[in-house]
Amino acid sequence: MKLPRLFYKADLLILPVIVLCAFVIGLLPHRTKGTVAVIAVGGSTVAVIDLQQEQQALSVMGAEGFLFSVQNGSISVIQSPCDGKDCCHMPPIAAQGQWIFCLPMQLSVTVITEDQIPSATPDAVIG
Amino acid sequence: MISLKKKVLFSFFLLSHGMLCLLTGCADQGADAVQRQSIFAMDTMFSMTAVTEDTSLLSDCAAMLQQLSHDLDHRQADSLLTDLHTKRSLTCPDDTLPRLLRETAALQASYGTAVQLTCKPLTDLWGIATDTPYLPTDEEILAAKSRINDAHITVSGNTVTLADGALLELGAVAKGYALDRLAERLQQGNTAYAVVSASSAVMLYGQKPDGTPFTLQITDPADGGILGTVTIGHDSPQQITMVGTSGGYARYSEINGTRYSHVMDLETGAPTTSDLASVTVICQNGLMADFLSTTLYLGGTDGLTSITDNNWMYLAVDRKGDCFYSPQLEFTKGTVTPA
Repeated sequence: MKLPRLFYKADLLILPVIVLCAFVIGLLPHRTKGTVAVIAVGGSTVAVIDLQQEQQALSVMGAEGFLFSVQNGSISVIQSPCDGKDCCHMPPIAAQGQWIFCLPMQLSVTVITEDQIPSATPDAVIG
Repeated sequence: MISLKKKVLFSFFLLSHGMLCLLTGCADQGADAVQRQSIFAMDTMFSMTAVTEDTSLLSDCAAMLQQLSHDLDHRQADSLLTDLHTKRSLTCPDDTLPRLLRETAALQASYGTAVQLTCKPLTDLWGIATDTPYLPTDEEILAAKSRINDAHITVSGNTVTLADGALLELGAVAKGYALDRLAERLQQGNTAYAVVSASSAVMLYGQKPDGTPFTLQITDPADGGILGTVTIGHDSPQQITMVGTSGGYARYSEINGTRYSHVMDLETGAPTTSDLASVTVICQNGLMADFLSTTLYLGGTDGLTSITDNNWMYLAVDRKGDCFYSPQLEFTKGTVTPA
């Protein structure tokens, strides 16, 4: 009995296309949920906030005049000393890479994962 | 001939299989989750962070710490140590206490007996850092000193025997020893990275997820601020660094207006008057870090280089704020501003 051929020459052309599609779809950005938020003023980190610990009105040393809210793994700015208050109108951010920026006060809030915490933050303090 | 419908179905199969492989790969990479746990043991808060697939790792470590804290505490009425003090000879249920005693004896053989585990009569007499500190007479000090000699400890297998009224106080090495035991559990748990911090004792394990070296801030004994930062790189995934700090600035008592450190000078039988404010030792063994930091602290600035070898590094700060440290130690004085 003669078995049917699985592939014909023309069929092989489609294989690279399928593999390429798989890679492209696989490499599409996934929105990973962040675990911490880095608050920076003028480019310098002033605080790293744990997004798992809910806080209604969090004030941060080095970012005076601002208040942050941490709810359900997300963070938002709820009070700002700037004039426009655009940062206060931004929706809460929770996904890795999302950010809120207050241009007048040069404050940024960026959600990252713990393994992305700037290395200058000490791993431990002894004494 | 295969129908067009079958070819389309086969193509979808290949596509979905390719996707599945990719997604599975992503899931594997994310399987090592950051775990955190804190536990109060040995009069200190142990803060543990680890990246591992072993979901019970830190709860196991916490249980180990609780057990060690209980077993090695002479103040607990039903502890292993209290049992030993009462019976004078005891076959321990495991090697926890015998191993601590053997490892300490080995360090004493190499680095001297400035630290002795039979110092309890003296620490009890002075009561430094307790609610009832006391300034003893010379006669009382002499009587207490006569009972201090680690040669009075005999270890045979898991049996420990105390002679001549010896009583053990393990505070000088207990936290470092506990970190050594935790390190063994971390190795079993295939841990990629861990930091265990217990105030004056720290363990840095493995490699950080971002591949950068560990940074360790040293507390300034003068004001409790940051004296500086030590950078420690690990070359292999299971490399371990243990750090121990000794000093008289955190635990002390004031008697008649004079401040007395909780660290006893066994030569004089009184709290140390070392010209050093703190000593930090960095090595691969927690008990050794604890033992050597106290030994160096007691020896003062003159003794800093007397026992130096390549197995460990030190950082010492004297009462004037001057720093002394091993040439190979990567130490930056002052606070490092986060990037």
